[in-house]
Parts: sequence; C-alpha cells; structure tokens
Amino acid sequence: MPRPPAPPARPALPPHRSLAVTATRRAGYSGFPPFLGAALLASARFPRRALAWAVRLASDQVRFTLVQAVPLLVVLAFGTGAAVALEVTRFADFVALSDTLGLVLALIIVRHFGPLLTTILIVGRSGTAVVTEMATVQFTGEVSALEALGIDPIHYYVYPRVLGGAVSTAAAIVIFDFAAVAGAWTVASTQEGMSLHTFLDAFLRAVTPADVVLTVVKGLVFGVGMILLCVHAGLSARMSPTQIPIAARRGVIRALLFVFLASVLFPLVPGVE
Amino acid sequence: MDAGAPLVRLREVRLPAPERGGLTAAFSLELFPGQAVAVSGSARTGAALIRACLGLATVPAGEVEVLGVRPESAQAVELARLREEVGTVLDPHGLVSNTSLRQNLLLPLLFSHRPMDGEPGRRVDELLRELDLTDRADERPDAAGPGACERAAVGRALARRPRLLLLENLDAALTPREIRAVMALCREEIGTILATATDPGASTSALCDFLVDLSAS
Repeated sequence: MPRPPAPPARPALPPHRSLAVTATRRAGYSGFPPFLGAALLASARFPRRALAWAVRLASDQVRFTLVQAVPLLVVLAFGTGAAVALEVTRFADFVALSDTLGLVLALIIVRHFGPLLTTILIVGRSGTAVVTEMATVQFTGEVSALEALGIDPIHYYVYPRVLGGAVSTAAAIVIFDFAAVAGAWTVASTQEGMSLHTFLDAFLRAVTPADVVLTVVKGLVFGVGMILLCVHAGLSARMSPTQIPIAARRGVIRALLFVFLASVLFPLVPGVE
Repeated sequence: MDAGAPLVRLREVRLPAPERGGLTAAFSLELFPGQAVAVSGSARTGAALIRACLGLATVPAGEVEVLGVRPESAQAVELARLREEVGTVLDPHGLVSNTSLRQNLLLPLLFSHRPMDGEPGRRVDELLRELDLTDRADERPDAAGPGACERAAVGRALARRPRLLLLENLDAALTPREIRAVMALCREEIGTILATATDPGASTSALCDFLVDLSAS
C-alpha cells in the first residue's frame, strides 16, 4: 500500500480539564473462581506452536520442584518411616510385628501422611517461589507486556507451572513412600532383626494396587490445586513491591488449607478408599 | 475494515494528567496507514492512551477504536486477535526476565495464532541484526542493559509484522541516536505508528509526521 505524504504542519490542541481515573481491565484475576474459569477456557486457544516451549518451562518447574527437593524429601520421608516403625516395634507383639508394620505403613504413610507431608514440603519450597515469582512479574510489567502482545499469561505462566507442579507432586509422593518404607525397614531390621523378605511380604500384602493409583491421583490433584492457588495469588497481587510478601503469605496459606481439606475429603469420595 | 480506513480513531478522548490533577484536553485523531503520530504528555497520559488502544485500560472520556474494534467493549477473543495484529512496546518494556533477548523475540511468533511467513528463527535473527543486538542475543534482560532491552522490546513488537505499532515512551530508555535508528526501522517495516513521549521536543516526536502536544493543554 502506498504511504500517504506526511503533512507539513503539526496540529496543536485546545486546553481542557476535569477529574477521572483510568480503570484497568484485569478480568479473570479478581477472584479464584473466575481465574479458574479463565484457565479452563484458555485451554481451547492454546497455540500449538508454543507446545514445545511450554513443555520446556514445565520441565524447568519439575527441576525446581522435584529434582532439587529430592535430598530433603528423602531425609524427611526416611525419618518419618523410621519414627513410625519405632512406635510400632515398641507396642506390637513380635509375632504380629511384620503384619502390623505393613498395615500401619500402608494406612498411615502411603494413604495419608505421604501425600500430605510431601505436598506441605512442596508448598513450602516451590509454592512460595511460584507465588513470589508471579507477584514479581506482575510488578515489573512482564504480565502487561505479554497481554499487550496478545499472549495469554495463562498460556505462558499458568499451564507450564501447573503441569510441572502436578507431575512433580505425584512423583515426589512416590519417592516419599519408597524412602519412608526404607526408613521403616531399617528400624525393623536393626531393632527386631526382621529380614527384608518378611518385611516386604507383609507390606505388599497390606498395599493394594488401588493405593498406588490413589497415590498418583492424589499427587496430581494436590499439585494442580496447590500451584493454581499460588499462581493466582501472585498474579492478583497489586503493582507494588510491598504486595509481594502479602501475596506470598496469602498463596501459601490457601494452598495449605486446600491440601488439608482435600486430604480430609479424599477418603469421602465414593469408591476411593 | 476498508483498506483506506484509519487504523486508529480517537474521538473526543481525554486522558489522565496527574501533573495538573485532572484530565488532558479532549482531542480527536485518525491515524491512516503509513502515518506516524506522536502524542506528548506525562508518562501516565501516554500509558493510558496506549493501554486504552489495547483494552488493558479504559479512557476517562471519549471513544477509542483500533483496527475497527472498540477495545473497551470487545470480547476477550476479539481483544486477543486485535493485540496479535498490533505490535506494542510498553514502558517499562516488560521483557520476560528468565529468558534471553533472542527468546523474548521468539515469544510472539510462537504464542500466536497468526499464520507465519517464514521460519521464526530467521525472522528473529534478522531483527536482532537490524537492532544491533546480535552480540547480546543470548543475554538475559537483567544483564543486557536498558538500551538493549528497549531495542529488544521493539524487536519483539515488530516480530509478527503487525499492521500497527504502539510505542510508549521510547525516549525513557534510548538515546536520540538509538531512537533515530529504531524509528527508521519501525517506519520501514510497519509504517503506521502511534507513539507517546513525555517531551514534545523528544526524538520520537521529531521523527513522526504529526505531534499532538497534550503537555501544554
């Protein structure tokens, strides 16, 4: 298209005055339900070209949330398993020790404390990091700049973190369970001389395939919910540096409440336990 | 939308002018393809105008229409399409801090529904060369310095070859020489520009066809 010639004169404008405020339009981040609705609807418009990029961001999230947390997770889980085994060996009859220990590990560690403690650890490590990062990118104008370019912040910030967080939480719970079982066997073998074969036999009789599936499902649900709450708290922070710690506190408290509530409600879902 | 229709139409628009505790004068403007207009006023005045054109904010008074869309009342999907057709540099630039300058330029090409002409990497390399950023392409924004970041933000806005460029306060981070080079590239690549500046005598204003001076009104 030919460019029209530039006019020679520069027009000036007459003066004017009044009062008003420019209102920002940040629909979707005001409350969690609208944010969740926006996150679900945005999936229909995710650009396919960006899939590899999103997967790379999600794998970064797995590195921060899972890989870097493994040493701490293993120590915590090993200690928890050992503590449970110490209590059981103190009170259980030796004849029934292996069965009792297997049952207690399956009920307490695999079904309840494993998912709960692991997710609390992840909220403390990665939930805080995610919420402060989101509040910071909001403050520095990254979110507005992406929106201005037609890039949905949900596509760029939310989906990769939710995917990475869910995968990491599920995998971390499985790692926690293995390490806790190892801790329990260490105590059982050193205190009571229990062989690995006897220990595993009793444990595997107590654990059902449904427990394994449930562990993974719990990890995915906890991970998705926890990260969504943290991302929302960060992105809904107002544009001020003083809002960053406030958003962090809000996000972490909400994520912890969600995890506790979901832990209580999970066994009540028909067919779950 | 007609080929000869204005890409931006502002009718009796008034913008915040916090330095005077009120609003600017009402002004109207039609920006046709190939034209470049600078609007000078306070940083907040410029920000309000650019963000209103994108539906990120609403103007206190008047009507804004961009590419035939009224951003104030547009639905989310329509707004997303409009923003894909427009290249924008905000102040602050808002480059994604945990990726390199090169990746920042790639972002709008990958996170887009518009059909691409050519390979995105080649387009990014071409822009990096034009903006004298080839040597700094792998640096992250916090290491690259404000001038390089601002140029990268211009590259990010140009990457999709938009129909219209909205430039918010380029003078804040670029030297007059850098602005001349950047504006020459913008005019050559896109042609139609709505820029804001805090100083009516700033380099950005001088390189546009029209100046709307709101600082004196």
